Amino acid sequence: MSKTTRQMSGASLAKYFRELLAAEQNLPAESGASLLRTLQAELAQVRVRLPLPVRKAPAEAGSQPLFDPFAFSTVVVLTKGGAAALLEKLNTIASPDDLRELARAQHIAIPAGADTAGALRAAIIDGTSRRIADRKAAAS
Amino acid sequence: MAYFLAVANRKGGVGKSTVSVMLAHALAAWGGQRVLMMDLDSQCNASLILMGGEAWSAARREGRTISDYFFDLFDETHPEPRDYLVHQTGDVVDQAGKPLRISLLPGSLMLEDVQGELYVKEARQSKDPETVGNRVRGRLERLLRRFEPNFDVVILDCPPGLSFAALAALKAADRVLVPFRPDYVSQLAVDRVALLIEDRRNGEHLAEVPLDQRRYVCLANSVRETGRERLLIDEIALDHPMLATRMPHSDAIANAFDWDPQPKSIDQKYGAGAAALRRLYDELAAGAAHRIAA
Repeated sequence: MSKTTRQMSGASLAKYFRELLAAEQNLPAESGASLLRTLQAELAQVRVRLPLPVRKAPAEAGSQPLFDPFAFSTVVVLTKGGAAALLEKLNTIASPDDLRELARAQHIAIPAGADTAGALRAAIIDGTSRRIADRKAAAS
Repeated sequence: MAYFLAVANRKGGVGKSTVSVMLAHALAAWGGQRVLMMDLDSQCNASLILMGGEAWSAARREGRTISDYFFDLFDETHPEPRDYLVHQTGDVVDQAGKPLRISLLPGSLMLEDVQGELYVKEARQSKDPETVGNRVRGRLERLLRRFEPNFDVVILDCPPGLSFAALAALKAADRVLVPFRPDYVSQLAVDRVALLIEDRRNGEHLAEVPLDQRRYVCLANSVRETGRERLLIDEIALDHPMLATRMPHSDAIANAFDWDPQPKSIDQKYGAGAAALRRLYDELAAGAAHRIAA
């Protein structure tokens, strides 16, 4: 008799969640990343019904793995390591869209003219500095 | 010598009273401590949670609230401050089914008015506002300390904003717990209350005090663990001492504060939230092992 369910945990469960969320075209990247973290943190194992639906792998669907705009804090990196450290972190993000998403999520103001990845990175560093200065002013 | 723990934040709605009550339960239930809760917030939420509306109303009629205590004893003539306390409050019992040793100095809606009256009373002795303010605060601080010999831990549930009573509590405290919600406005509120607790003028002066030498520690409360919240907590921890424990946004905790006289264990009271409370208790007790550990 064939199995009708399958228990998942560990790496296979993480892969299942990633593919499940990546296949949801209408799920914003930020929400997807947040949901993925929550599911991975709170669920140790699940039992899924078989057969599993065939989902296009993210690469086949033409989409990238979910970008997490909260993977690091620009304020924390800049405060601890300075502008060079923050630039190094931002250099790991190639897509201008992802850089814009990071700035929006972390409430870092960037000027309208910043379109290229390089300009966006510089604007994020500048905006983060202003944000830190603003907080200091509020507490003075 | 009692250990004085103030729970304070100038911002309202961050969970000062609920955290105060949870800690009172934890210290009494798991630590076996004799706990006194002093409700300095004129919203009186801690009192209502611990004793219910009817008993609190009776305490008001009988003149046994914190504003009565401050007013009657301001000149330090009343013989027995213990008359103002209500003992064995709350609905949590120990493993043997006995009420926990949690006493309460009930809150009062009149606390701000009484502090104004005390200021006027003191102003007859001096014309200098700063001198008068310091004297009122100093007298209230001494009144807060009068229960010291009879308890192991005194929890000072502070009001939002500033008042002589709040300042007296911050002065009297061995440790100040600053609950906050992980949002932008709370971040600014933590910065401000830290200046007040450490008596510093601005952030640069505050930074001169090493994190491990500060009298306060921050507690992220009602946390949903979203990416934005995690980042804000990390950012606050850059400048302020932070407990590793984060109190989760939890229905079990939120629903635990309805007045219910039915006796229950602390695990029954807080349900799924009891584990987080246990972590908070363990972490705080570890930080003051010589004073409040079980």
